[in-house]
Amino acid sequence: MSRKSDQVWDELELTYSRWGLNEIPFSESVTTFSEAQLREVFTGREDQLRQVLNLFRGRERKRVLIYGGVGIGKTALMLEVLSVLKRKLQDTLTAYISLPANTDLATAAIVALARELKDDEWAQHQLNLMGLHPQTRPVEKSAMAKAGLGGTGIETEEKTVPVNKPEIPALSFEDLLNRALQKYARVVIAIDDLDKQDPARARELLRDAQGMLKGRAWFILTGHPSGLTRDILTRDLGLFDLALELTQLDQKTTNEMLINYLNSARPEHSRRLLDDPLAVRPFTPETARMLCERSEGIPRWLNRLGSYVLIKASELHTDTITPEILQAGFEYADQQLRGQTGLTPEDYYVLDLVLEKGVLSEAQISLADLDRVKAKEFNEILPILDKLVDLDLIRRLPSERAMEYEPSPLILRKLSDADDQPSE
Amino acid sequence: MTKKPTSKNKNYAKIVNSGSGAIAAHGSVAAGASGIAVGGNVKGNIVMGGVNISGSNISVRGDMVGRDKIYQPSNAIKTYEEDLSLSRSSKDQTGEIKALTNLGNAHYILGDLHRAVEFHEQALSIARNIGNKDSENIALGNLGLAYSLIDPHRAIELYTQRLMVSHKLENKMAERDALESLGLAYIRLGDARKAADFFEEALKISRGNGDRLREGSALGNLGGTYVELGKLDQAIDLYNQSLSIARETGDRLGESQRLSNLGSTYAKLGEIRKAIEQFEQALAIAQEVGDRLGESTYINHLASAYLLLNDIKKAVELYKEGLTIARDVGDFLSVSNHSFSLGLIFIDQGRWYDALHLFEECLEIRRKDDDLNVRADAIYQIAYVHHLLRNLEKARTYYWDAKRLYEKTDNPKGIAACNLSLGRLMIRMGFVDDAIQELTVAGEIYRRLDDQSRINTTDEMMRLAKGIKEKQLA
Ligand SMILES: Nc1ncnc2c1ncn2[C@@H]1O[C@H](COP(=O)(O)OP(=O)(O)OP(=O)(O)O)[C@@H](O)[C@H]1O
Ligand SMILES: [Mg+2]
Repeated sequence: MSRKSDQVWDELELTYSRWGLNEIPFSESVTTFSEAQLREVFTGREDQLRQVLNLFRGRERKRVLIYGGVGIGKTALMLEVLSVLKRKLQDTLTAYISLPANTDLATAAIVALARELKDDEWAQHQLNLMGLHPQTRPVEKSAMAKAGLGGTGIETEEKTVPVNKPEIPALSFEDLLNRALQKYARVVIAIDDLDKQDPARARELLRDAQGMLKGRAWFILTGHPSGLTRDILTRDLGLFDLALELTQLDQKTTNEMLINYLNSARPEHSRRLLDDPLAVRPFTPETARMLCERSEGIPRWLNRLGSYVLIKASELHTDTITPEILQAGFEYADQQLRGQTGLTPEDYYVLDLVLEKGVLSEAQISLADLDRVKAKEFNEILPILDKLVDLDLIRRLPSERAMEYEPSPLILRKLSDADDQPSE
Repeated sequence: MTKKPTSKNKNYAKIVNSGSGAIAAHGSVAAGASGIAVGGNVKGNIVMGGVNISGSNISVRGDMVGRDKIYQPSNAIKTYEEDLSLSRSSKDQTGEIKALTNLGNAHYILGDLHRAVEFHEQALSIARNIGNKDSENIALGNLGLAYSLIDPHRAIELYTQRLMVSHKLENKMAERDALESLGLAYIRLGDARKAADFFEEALKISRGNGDRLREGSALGNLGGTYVELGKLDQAIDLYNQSLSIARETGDRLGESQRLSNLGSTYAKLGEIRKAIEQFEQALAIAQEVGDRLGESTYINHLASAYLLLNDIKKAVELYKEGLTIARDVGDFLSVSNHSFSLGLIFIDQGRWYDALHLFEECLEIRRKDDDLNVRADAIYQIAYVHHLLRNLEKARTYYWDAKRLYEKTDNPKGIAACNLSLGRLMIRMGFVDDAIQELTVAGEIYRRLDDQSRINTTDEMMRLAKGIKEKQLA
């Protein structure tokens, strides 16, 4: 038995070494990368980096909003900015937190900041009071992607919810900030995933945090381009000095990103230059292009598809990813995505409905449709739709006229479905 | 148990519209405030009913004989299920009918109308199979009641059958019940004239056999139809007659309900002080006999009356008190109604987030209910608050949801309110063509309803939309 297992392992090892890769470099979540790893794979977004970093040439504190669709690279950009600041500005303290559910911004900011003030006893005491223990930052967590062949399922980012929230978080934050500002010239608080849950709730959070946001710390926030950011941009513009929208990457940059990821898994001496046709190995330039096209310039899709395709290819012991192998990889991705853990029957009903409709719109959906998914309001299925988007099974169309969803391109629609779907 | 689909709450809107600038500018506020309306009850196997008249926050509460005797349906269901399998295994069909009937009624009380229909259907078909006319008769009545909210036309069919069966059996009591049920069903369909005919017939039967209690409730129901027909003075007269019967027979619950109905009618006549007097008397009785459900209902009526007097402070106080009682006794219907009314006031006071949270609580409850119309009311208000909060996308999604439900329940006022609001919203979001489309529909409906003030609002919005469009084209 164990001989056999060893043999399997050795075969895989062989396949990977023929590809010139140590491991599968892709990951669905940036938080699994170390700072150094992120630096290696981070691609493009130069314009945005320039705009944000330029603000830091000035002394006056600023507030930045980064917004864009799911998996477009908000967290990656945010962490990249923080990492540059950390390296280049010794007098600047950076703190990152992904906004936990049921937590106000001030409390989140306290947690983020206190975790950075490791030597400050008072700060650590605050964390203890909240039932939290001083931890290393998520960015510094050991890379889970190293688990290698796993790669399936979603890695949910760790989100700790404080047990005892401070009574007046804004004031506690002030205190903490003052202590930090005794040591540092600048404090940057990065709060990620502002409206992961509900745009309206996020608005309420922002409103309640106005005082803090206009205080002495720098803030970088991320959100989705839904009603929230829309309204912030048109109305509460005063709240943000810079609002950056992240959009899909072009094909050239996507290709570059693919190469950076692959290179990051190659031994130092065998890294390839961008224009080297072997840089995309085990892909061919053709299948690399096909992969990038299918990813539509969305970094997370490239990561997901890339990872599934490599797993499939290694199962097939292939040296080169031909169009056929690529197709098999896409089918595998489709299977894996649909079979993700944590999907309930209700989720499948809703997914089916989207697959059947082609485009599911809040304005067009009928009560009969809703009945099929045991609902009477579109609102009732929104949480499910959000979940399916997060799992890359469907995607939200950019329309602002109505909420509209369609199957994600990562899902291969059944042929029979594709036939009777009038293309819209 | 039952609520009459209600439409726009005029009285309240008046106040809201006179409120703060932002709201006044918005014009229409409530697509429909649901008035409290309780009626229709199951007593043993006999179907009883009450009239629900609303259209103002203060509504006429139906006669509910034996309401205090409601047992705990969820516990009872278990027992009935055992009865059912027992009677089935022993091939005792009469027992089976009885168990099915009890199960149907229990589910009805729990608000699960579709399950109720299922059980009563089964009971009906067995009764017909074994040719038991009496059981058939009872099943028809219960089935009709269960259908009354889902499909009123079907309910009328069933009641009519019941009327004929009873007539043939010369069962006067059942005949009168059928007549009353028919009256109620027509009220629900908005045909008060026809309803009045049926109630008059029922009244005759009750008078014929000297059943004072039922005579009183028939008078009350008739009073309700007269309210509906706008004959308020006659209604007051009828209510007073039924009130004295209640006093004469020592029917305390009936007394309190009729006082409350009287109050509502006075409120409609604009005699608010007098209305308050009645409600206070009703409330005192409810407190005296420990009728918590009545207590919370009358407090709600009182609150609405103070609202009409523009005594917002007193109204808020009362609504809060009512809300506490209703939450306390697990009277979800009242919780949803109180939170709805209080939500409207909070909107008026600019306490938008507070209002939002109340409407959300209200919707949570109404989602469990089969009455899509009041559910739509809650959804509409949530949309409206989001609109005020400028959560435009949220508002849009909720308006669409409300509209679909109003369409399903054939509520033109509700539909038009959604169209108008969506029109306004789409202008703000920059989709002028969509706005024009929505406003066109709203305008058509309001013209059909002959609602001049809304026609004006709609036309005004339309001019705005067209103006923007012209500028865009130029
Ligand atoms: N510029 C980039 N260069 C390289 N990899 C990137 C880049 N942007 C994103 N990625 C990768 O794509 C994946 C998704 O990115 P990220 O988590 O930053 O997206 P997001 O916009 O924060 O998504 P969500 O909306 O789910 O929070 C991650 O694995 C990340 O490492
Ligand atoms: Mg992110």
